[in-house]
Amino acid sequence: MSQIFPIDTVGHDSDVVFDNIGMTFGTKTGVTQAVANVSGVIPEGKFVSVIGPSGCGKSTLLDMVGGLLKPTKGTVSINGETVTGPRRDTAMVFQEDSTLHWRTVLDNVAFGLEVKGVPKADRYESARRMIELVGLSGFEDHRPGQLSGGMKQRVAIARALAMEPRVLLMDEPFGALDQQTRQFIGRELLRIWEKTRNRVLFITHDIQEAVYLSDEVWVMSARPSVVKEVVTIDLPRPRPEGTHTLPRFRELEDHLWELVKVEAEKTLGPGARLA
Amino acid sequence: MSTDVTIPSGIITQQSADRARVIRDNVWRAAVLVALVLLWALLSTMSDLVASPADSLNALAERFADGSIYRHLNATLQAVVIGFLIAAAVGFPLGYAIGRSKFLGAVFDPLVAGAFAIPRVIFFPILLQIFGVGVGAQSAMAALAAVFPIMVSTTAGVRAINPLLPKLARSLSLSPLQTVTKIYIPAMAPSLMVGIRIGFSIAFINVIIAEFFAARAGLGLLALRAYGMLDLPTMYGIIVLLAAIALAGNLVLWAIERRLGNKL
Repeated sequence: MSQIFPIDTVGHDSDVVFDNIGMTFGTKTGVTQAVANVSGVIPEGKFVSVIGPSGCGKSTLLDMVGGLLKPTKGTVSINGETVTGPRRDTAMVFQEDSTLHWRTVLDNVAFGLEVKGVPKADRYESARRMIELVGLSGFEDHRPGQLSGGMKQRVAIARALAMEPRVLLMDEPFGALDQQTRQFIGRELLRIWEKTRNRVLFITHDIQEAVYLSDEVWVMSARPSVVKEVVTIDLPRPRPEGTHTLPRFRELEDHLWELVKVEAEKTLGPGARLA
Repeated sequence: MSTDVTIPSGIITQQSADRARVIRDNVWRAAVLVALVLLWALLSTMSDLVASPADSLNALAERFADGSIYRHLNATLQAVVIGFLIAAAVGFPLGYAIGRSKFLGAVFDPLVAGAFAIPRVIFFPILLQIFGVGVGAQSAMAALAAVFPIMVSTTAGVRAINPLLPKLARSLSLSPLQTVTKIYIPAMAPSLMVGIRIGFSIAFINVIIAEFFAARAGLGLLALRAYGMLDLPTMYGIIVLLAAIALAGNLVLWAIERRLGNKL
């Protein structure tokens, strides 16, 4: 099977580099190849989204950068160092609520710094700054149980940002939210990111969200997956309210949808047709 | 000036409303207790099997005054505390392991559920053979009885933990100790407290039952003796004492639980 590597895999030292990685799981029925071959670079200061059909290994890719999974083939490196386990300079945001319900918002946001051993005064100072950044000022002493789903996700984002990660890993962070909240918090994320400019690896099912947020969108194939195409999102930043209605936005969205459709039909089996 | 006053006054109203509610609840609790005592007093005038509240409390006070009750009180409390501590030392780790391991869960879930339903007191004669008549057998009885509710609630607590939290712990490079102290224990605190409260109650109940069968000292034994001698005031006095101990123990644990609930 011939593979096309559309991405230049020669990255800079400070980049996140996927070098010919593959992932094979042993299962009861034999061996499943989840990720066939992925190469790619997340350059400094770039927001990269990954889309693709369900089960194509998007989250696997993210867990590898986070050091939670080891690729069975190839390496992931950050700043020229091979990732062998969880690193202090990466931080994750998950799809479902991952707040600690027994802690206040302030102590939740400070949690990452606390286990890192940052002194109380310092970690509270950073935490307060992040709480302000994600728009939760005034809720410092609330507990997650008193917050909405969208607010809890902001707490999780603030907790990740407080670690000042070089790479922010987001696994469908808005996937469990309703459409309105999702669009609103997406705009917020973009506003925050334009201030912090960490590298972001963002997993999503939502094509519009991917176009709106990203510098690059990687489209993954059905498993065993490869990166089928890297689409550069050449929309100017900052991206204000009306960005969704730009003709170029629509073009990119349509193009991505065509790519994803073909893969989704493969996953759903022969004969499946999506409108 | 006026705005300075409005904001705090809102808070004060809220606080005083809370305080009013607490006072109201306590008044009603006291009223229910008084009603129960009145009912008791009424029943004592109607039946020879019921001693009056005044006689009962007098009999109990006499036992305290002459010091004869302390030996029994100590024996019972000792057995409850020792039994409970053993149950906790065994039940928490076992329940935790069963909850975290799929394999252990598969093996032990049905066994624990089955064993939970066995009336544990049936084993008391065997415990008597092993430990002899005394606090040892009573403690063993309490431990055997209390270990199951503690295990079951701990297992349920582990399983109820948000599965993302262990993943979060790994991604933040928490040490195994930090994972337990900063994630598992606080996440499980409500179930742990339920286990402690039910464990204490079951331990207490089983010590008294065991003392009915064979004991050198204990409130259960004392109540049984009083009954045998038809000393009804003493027997009812001891019932009041047992109720007071159960209530006090549960109130303390309940208060801890609520404070944790506010903090955790």
